[in-house]
Amino acid sequence: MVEKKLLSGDEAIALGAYEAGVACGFGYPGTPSTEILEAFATFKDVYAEWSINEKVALENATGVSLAGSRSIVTMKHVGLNVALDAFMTLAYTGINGGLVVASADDPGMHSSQNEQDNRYLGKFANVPVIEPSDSSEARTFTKQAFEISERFDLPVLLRITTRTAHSGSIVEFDLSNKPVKPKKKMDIPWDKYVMMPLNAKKRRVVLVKKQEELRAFAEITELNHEDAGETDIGFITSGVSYQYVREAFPGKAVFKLGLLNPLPLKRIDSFVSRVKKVYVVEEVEPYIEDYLNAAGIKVEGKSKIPLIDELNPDIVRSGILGTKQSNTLEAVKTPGRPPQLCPDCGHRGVFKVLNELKLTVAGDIGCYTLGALPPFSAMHTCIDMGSSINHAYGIIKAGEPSDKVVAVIGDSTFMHSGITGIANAVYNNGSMLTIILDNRTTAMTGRQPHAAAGDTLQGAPGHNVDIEALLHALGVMDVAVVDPFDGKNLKSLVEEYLKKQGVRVIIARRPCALMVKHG
Amino acid sequence: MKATNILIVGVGGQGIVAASDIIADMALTKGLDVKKSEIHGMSQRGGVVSSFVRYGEKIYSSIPFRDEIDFILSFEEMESIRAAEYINNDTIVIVNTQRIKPATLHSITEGYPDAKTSIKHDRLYLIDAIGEAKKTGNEKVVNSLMIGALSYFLHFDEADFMVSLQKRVKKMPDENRTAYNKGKELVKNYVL
Repeated sequence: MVEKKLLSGDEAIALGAYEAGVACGFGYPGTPSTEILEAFATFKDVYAEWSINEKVALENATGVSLAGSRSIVTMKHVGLNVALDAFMTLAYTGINGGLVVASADDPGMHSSQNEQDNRYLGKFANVPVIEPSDSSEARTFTKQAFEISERFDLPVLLRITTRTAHSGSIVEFDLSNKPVKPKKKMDIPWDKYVMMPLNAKKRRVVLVKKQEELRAFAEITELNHEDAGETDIGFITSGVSYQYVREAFPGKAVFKLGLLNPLPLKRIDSFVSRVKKVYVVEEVEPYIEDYLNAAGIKVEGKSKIPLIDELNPDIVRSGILGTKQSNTLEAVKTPGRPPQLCPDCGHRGVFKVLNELKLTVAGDIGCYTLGALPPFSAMHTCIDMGSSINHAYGIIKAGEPSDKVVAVIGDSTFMHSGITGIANAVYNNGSMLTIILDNRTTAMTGRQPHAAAGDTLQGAPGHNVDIEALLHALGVMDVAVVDPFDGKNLKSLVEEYLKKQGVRVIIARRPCALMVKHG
Repeated sequence: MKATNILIVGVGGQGIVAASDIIADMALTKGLDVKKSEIHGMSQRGGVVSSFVRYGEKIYSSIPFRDEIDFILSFEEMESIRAAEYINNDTIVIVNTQRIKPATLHSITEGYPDAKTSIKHDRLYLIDAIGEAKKTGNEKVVNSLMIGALSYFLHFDEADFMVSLQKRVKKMPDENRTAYNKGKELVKNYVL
């Protein structure tokens, strides 16, 4: 029976992966990618897990692929930075079972620390980059991504953005026949997968050769297509920008790219030759524009379309036409409504204490980054996952007093990439205080369980890592646990621990207030 | 057929996303093309939430042109003022007069702007949806009440609403049905 549902792009990717017979899904939560794996995990007869971080997730998936099954890996854009070490060389080795990395960019930085454009990372790694423009394509392109992965013996980067991930549109599908899970024979030739220079040099040659095949494929694949139309002006675009172009310039010729690496230069050259004036419309960086100009196809884009922030139909229309059209009321200045630590969040107390003690606070990524805002104003850095510990360590190595500096990190972030920082500090005779804000979940992205707290993604009881025991095993001499609701105790403990020497850790433990409320 | 463009605004936790899902589903049930777009990055922490729902014969962008919004459904009074730049001459603006104090204001009385005086627009329907919902004994039905208020202007009836609602909300069908009709009635009285 054909079903017709309104799905988000994330849900549609999960559906496509299921239909493609994906056996295993791995990922780490990160807006706007989180719902892909959450949706995939609900299908019967698939395995899905929150891995400890994105690098581990990709390597787990690689194992699945070597064994001959299909796997999907999900993460936000900056997650691919964490996984990049594994990703870059996986392009050299190739895969056995199809492997797709779904990574979600966040133009406009709705909930991210940067606006990086991961199309470049796909091109950098020499792998196919595929980008859907709505939920229906998110489903079909995901299925095609697995075929392309196996056909070219490469991992595929499925790039989405916040608006495709979180917008809902109609998807038609039929699940009356249960998808077949393709299982190849396990196949791990050592000269393909042991990337010592001897083999890697040969695989580099193979990778370069594959680019030729991919370029030929780009010219014929239906992932790219041309909408015929008037040719006084025309557009080259992809992803959600395609929808904005169709909205703003109905009836004009459009070349829509679904495969972003490599680009179909011959087809685009032909399109450009038939259209009087061609504009490239793309969010964030001039990826397509620079690619085409470097290939000698002269197009214009970022002279009209902003480099910064998301686009929308108004921005596309006014950018290209150079005129603003507005028949609406003027904006009225309205008091702001900045996001806040929840009123009943136990961890507010920690930031109150840090503020009172006027400490330099190296922070990290999670809800608690909001501790940087008034009324707490008690955080000075937040750059990438796990960085707090190392920032504090470096500040103190530079000679700042160790009783004036503290690192603050959440439990999920600590498990993701905080452990190595502690080990490094112990080994190198560091002296600093770290406070782990342990709310027993990954709260910011919607309360996902993690290695040190909660069940597994699919509901099996998790064998949780004991953070105190882990810290002791790493060689941390002073470890204390405190309930951050107990303000008096918390403050005296922080003061006491600031004066100590060596690597010391306070675990401020109280479950997320939302978890208590909603489970 | 011209697309219908709806902007739904409110504060994190008010059920904006759920309401936009139900409205989008009602259009889907009618066999129309539908898209919706929302940003819910940090909304859990009390931030602004907004969602566009668009439906018609064929919809490309999930975000409409700013001056083509047909309806604004605001779940909170001040958020309707923030949405003023989306109001054109014909936009119908339905506002739940519930006031949720932003953390930046010290008290609800001091500095909280008034929608009636801030929005210079004729088609402004200020309804005490939360008050009416509370009368039923469960303020959670406020969403159904607001959808009812919007539906007064749309080609959706009670049956369309109930089908879409029950795909997502199993609890309290009768209470939600009553709230939906109450919402319609509130706007109807306003219009008459």
